[in-house]
Amino acid sequence: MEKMYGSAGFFASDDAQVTVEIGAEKKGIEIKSKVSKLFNAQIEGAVKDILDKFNIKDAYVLIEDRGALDYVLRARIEAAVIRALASRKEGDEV
Amino acid sequence: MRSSKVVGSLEEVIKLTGLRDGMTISFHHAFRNGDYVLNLVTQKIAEMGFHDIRINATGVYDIHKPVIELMKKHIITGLETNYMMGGFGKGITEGACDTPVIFRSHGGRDAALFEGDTHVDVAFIAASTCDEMGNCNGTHGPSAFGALAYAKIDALKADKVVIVTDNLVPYPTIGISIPETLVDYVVQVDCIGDPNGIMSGPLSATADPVTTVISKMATDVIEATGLLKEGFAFQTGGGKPSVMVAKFLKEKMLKGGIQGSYIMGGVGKSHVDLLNSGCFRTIMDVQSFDLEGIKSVRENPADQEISIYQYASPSAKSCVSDGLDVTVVGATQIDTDFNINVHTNSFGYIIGGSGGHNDICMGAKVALAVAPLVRSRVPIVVDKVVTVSTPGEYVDILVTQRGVAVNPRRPELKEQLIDNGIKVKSIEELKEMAYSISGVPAPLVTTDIPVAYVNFRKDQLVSTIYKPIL
Amino acid sequence: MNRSLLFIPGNAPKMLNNCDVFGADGLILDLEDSVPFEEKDAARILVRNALGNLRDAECELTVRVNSKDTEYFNDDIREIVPMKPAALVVPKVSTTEDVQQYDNAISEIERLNGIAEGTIKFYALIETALSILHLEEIVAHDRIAGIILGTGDLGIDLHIKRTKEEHEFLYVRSKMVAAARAYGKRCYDTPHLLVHDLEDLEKQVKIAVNLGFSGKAAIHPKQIPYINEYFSPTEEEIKRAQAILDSLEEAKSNGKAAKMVDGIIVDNANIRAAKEILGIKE
Repeated sequence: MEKMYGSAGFFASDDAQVTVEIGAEKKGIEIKSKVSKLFNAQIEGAVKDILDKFNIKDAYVLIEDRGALDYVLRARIEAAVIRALASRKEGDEV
Repeated sequence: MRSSKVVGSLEEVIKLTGLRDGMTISFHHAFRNGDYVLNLVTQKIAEMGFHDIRINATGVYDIHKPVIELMKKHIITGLETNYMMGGFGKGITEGACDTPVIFRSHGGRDAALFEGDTHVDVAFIAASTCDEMGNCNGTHGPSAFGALAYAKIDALKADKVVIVTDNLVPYPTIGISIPETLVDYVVQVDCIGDPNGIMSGPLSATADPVTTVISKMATDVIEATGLLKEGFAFQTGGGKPSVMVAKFLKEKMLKGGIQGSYIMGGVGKSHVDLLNSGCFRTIMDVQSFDLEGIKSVRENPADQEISIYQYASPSAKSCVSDGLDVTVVGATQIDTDFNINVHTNSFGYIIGGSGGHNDICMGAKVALAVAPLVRSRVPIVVDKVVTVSTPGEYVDILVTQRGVAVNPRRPELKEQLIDNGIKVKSIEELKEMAYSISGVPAPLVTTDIPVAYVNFRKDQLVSTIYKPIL
Repeated sequence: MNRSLLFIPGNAPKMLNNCDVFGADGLILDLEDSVPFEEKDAARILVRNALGNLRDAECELTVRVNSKDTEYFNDDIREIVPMKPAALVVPKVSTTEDVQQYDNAISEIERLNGIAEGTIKFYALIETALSILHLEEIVAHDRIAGIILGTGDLGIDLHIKRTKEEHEFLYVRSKMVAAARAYGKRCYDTPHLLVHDLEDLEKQVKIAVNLGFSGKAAIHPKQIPYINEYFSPTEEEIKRAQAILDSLEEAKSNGKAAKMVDGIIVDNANIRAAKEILGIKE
């Protein structure tokens, strides 16, 4: 399976930069956030929900967060996933 | 005939004071994050081989971070203060100091010294102008910083009093904030501090749109209390919301032809503006927040330098903070009991301290807290604050961008606001709103090692700050 | 209340988080000009989620989608329409055919999502020379709830040399008001682009009120209080409106015809205007 990679969002106040890698050796969820002490469960939950929605198993998701609210985080994860999936399509066309 | 009190060097003067291991030295924080004196003295003390020295400083800032290293070497082993900036606070929170820090309010620290609850062996008092016998001030000279209010009690009560200046002038100086009668020694250094380091917070009045909404609402609430009339007495700080409230208040007061009686300092451009536009008769000044503030207390007789004793001490026969109508204060957190936290952030790290918060909330007829509901996902309105700085019985109103809440202890105030067109929500409602925006936060878990004790004013223990799990 | 419409950049979480506290009667979450091309995909998902987050807000929620002539349009409406915003702000509308094409596209998505066709309304941005000539047919379309003037693009299309007073837009403004009022639709004046010149904003707002606009668009929250204040009836106007309706009631009960109040004849036109001021629906 070819490696697919996508990133969305910004490492800026109230936002999060989300990186999704599918088909790489790295797996799991890595969270770098000032608020992880308070909201780690919710952040992980958001990642799992979006990956489920797109039926993706075995991805590596990196969240570099600066206080994104739940709806923002979910939007960024979804956009990163969509960009990752699109990167495979582009690869095929070549 | 008498001899000059000027001593040749810092080392010499430290020897002359008879400083010994285990003693307490004190400093004032008028220079805020531009202070050089605390570092100069503590570095010298370290060089000279002292150990186990306690510091009593009215405020410590990030510029003082070298002291954290001295703490790790047990050269400094104790600290009493009224305010601690976040960079310094990180070191303390993570356990750098051998003994827990003791926090008090400005008025409380003054009273503790006055009544002998705590003791200073040697006071090192930075002054921007000083003569050879020790008459000194903070308003004149190249390093002028404003009122010398915080150190007056040290000059009175410390065993030995050293004035540290970079501007020695012929006797007698003009402008005597601390008189020679209380001074033991005078020492000259290259520079006592950087007046530009005093400025923290906003330099301009342009705030983000949410702060503008909060500040406008706070001003409307002040008007609705019915207290905004001739003789109005007001206090607000130097942060963005405070600066904006001062601006909106000025518009209302000019429009209504209202002249207030006094504003309390710390004083910056926006406060000076209120005075100069005729909105208030006088400023009761204990500290300058910027160059405009320094200029004003130096040049305008209506901007009066007073002592902390007069400002906010519970020991005084009367004090200025007790005459306040309204104060506008900040909060890192506020809970459903209206307890306010200004000592730690939501993660338990020390990022501040009462300063005058305790004194003015207790003294004012109406204490109004302003805060956004949520800051970068962190809810400000919570079930229980991590640290109680000012107990809820002294906090009357909370203004956020999504609603205003009134302390249930003040039903008549709530009625007053509603009758004057303010929509009032319950504090629980605001908390629910905050949690629905941020998510319900996991409870904070710490070790049981105390790193600081928080006193309300002088000695009423309201909180203990514990070392986090690292 | 439909006095103010605030543009919010669609890719800015900070602004989206608090866009409903600024007092704007309506919000335009923007996917078009404020979003760079490489962020169109991410912004559309963010705005979709933001619409969910704002569902309890007290203001009207609208979204400016990318023009139907762009590659982004179809994805925009596929994500946004199911969230049922009150309206879409449709850009570069020049003729009734443009409106119809937008209508067809949105109808299909409404159908696919079990939404009654025509539920989601349009605000058409008037920003091309051609649109000025076709104003009447544009506002007549059922989907159109209102029109918004965009002097930025329109000025370029008309080769206008802009002055501060903006007299050069007088004809355009008056024609928009005439068309909108004839068909009972809303008309919004252009956003004031000199964000920090509030004195000039105040002047322009008063002009828009006098010309008959129902409201004004905004691009910064600090513009909202000025727009809301001047587009709201004054105390005096409210009193007079009430007096007109009271005199009508009184005349009815006396079996007489109402005559004049404050020098204003109590005729049908003035009665209708009075009801509008008092927010009474027919």
